[in-house]
Amino acid sequence: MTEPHARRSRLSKRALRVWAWVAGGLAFFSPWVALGLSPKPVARSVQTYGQRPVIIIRRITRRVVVQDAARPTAPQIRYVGSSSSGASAVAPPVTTTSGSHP
Amino acid sequence: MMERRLHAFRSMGTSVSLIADGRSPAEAFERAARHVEMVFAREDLRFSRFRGDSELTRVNARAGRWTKVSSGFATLLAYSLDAAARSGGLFDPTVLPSLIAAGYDRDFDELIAGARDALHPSEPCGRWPEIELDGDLVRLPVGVGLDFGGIAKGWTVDLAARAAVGEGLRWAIVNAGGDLRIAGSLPREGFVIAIDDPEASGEELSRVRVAGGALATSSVTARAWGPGLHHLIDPRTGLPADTGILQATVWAETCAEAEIRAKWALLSGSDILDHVSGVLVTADGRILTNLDAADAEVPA
Repeated sequence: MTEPHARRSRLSKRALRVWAWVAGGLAFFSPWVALGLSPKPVARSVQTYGQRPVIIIRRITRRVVVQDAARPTAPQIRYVGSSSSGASAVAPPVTTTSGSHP
Repeated sequence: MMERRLHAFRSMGTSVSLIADGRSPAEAFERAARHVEMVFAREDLRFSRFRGDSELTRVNARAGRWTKVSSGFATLLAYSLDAAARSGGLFDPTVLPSLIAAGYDRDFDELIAGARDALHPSEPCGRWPEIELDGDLVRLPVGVGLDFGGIAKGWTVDLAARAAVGEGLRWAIVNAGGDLRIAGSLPREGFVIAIDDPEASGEELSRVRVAGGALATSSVTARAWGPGLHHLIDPRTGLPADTGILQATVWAETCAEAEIRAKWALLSGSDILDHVSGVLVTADGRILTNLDAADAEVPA
């Protein structure tokens, strides 16, 4: 003789429908929540005014310092200034020296 | 204005020019131009680390074993090892692993075509005393690679300038990417040479008047492929140099020596002006020089 099984309580159709709506809503909105909580990108270094980038031009200013060397420097070479200081009036340069430009 | 002849071509990953007296015979200038190109082609085949068929590539590939080298290779290696000793190791021909680790693992034209970052952590330098050189035989320690870099270019400029004058030119200037040698019977007043601005490529920063010898410039803003990534490795750290000097322009009797001193100056800081003749540009905006500036127009 077998004992009768205890009957499992079942959710009503209405309760099931409510749970289905809640689960669907969570699944639908979770990407927006994740995006909203994620860290924002660092502000861009270029300042903007409206949609137009503002370009900051830095004028390079340099100061010439003539040092006394501990020992005499080579007599075959002399400093004659720069084109902006009036040296351009002396003679145009024959060629240019620079740091390994391709 | 003095008439001049000019011949330009590319070699060793840079632009090369031969400048000569305009009164020199055209045939002599043509012969000199061919000879200069031949010298550069020959030395590039000897010293390029970007060519699979170069002598340098063969020597580096045989690290740990004795390798027979040409007399030119042995001469420049001996000169480099002597320079390393004189500079207390600041000039170091064994920075190749660090240079590759910093990202300079291919020809510079290819390097700037794509954004690069450092490839690996820095590698130790300073193993030049372990290199063995016996006549025309060389043995590198395992794990060590040679890179003559600018000194090979300076050495080639010296050879090319001598070759040009040997073809009958009164005087000649050979300039390879800014490293130049003046040879022959020069005009009494010498030549005015412009120094490029390290922060504004193509713009003139200063001028010097040179009556012989050679000039070389080293800069941390040239041959750079990223923030703090450039071709001048500080052997003390194995990293690209950061000494507060942006550019060093140095005079010497030969271009190979000027190259060594320019690198030494860039890695040493401004105190080096007690030992070399030149012009330094600092990161804080100063132009330091120990040259005779009695005739200069220096703004107050």
